Amino acid sequence: MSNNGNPSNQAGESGLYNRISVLRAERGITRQQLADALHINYQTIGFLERGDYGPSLKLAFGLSEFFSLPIEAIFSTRPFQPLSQQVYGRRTPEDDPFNHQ
Amino acid sequence: MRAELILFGKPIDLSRQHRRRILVVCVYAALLLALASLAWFASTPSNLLVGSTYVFFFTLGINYVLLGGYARSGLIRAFANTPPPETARTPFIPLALRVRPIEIVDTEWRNDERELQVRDRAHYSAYQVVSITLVFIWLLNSWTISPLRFVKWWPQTIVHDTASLLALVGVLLSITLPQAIILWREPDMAELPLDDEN
Repeated sequence: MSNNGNPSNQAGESGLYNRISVLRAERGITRQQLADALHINYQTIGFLERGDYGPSLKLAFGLSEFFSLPIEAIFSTRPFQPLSQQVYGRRTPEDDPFNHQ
Repeated sequence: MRAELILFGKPIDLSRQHRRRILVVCVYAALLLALASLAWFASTPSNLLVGSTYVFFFTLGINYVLLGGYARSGLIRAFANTPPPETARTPFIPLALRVRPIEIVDTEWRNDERELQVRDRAHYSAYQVVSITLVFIWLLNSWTISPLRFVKWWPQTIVHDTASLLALVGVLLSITLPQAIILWREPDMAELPLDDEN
């Protein structure tokens, strides 16, 4: 079941923010497929996505390898900015051509 | 943890937390009933010993068929986290009693790191309850040999019988409590992977 809201901005019990559900959706893979690739139970993916479980270093590296991204792009101790904002940089309202205020 | 039990060939969905909690309540109600019957009907120490043995094996059976953990079948995967031996595949399949046919695949027996953490936490919680039971047994036994004899008006046989029953309770809790705690605490399982919306 996918998370409603913004999972990358929920730390849950682990105190870690993560982008797993975003990355998974981006690549169009199910929890089961990701779990099989990492040799873990698919429920654990749900716990990770909700931030209710902080992974071991081994699992974090496994995720990093799977998504071909550095660990800090997947996990953070602070809330993530939306990916689009991070990629295209922060825009002030004055820079926005569609802002007619 | 597994999402369903297969009893007598029928799958029983236990992926929802409230269903698992009902199962836990039923298991402990059955054990309480067995203990109450034992306390009521056992008139001599030897009767108590024989009855305790029956209750012990009854608990092992419940653990084997329903709870798991210290068995290969049941809802909880084996705590040992090792692949089952070849010989562990057979006996109850003809009666369809086995909760789930054991295949030697990873997902059938292997607990991942989160499940191992859950297992260890459940044992920590269960340990505290079992320790309290042990303290009560020790206190009861101390009373019977203490020169002060705080409970003089209590016949010594009743104190001994109570201590024996408490010891049995401790044994039953050590067999079943970690699994019951896991079944009680784990939230609803996610939807089946095929329904996963990414």
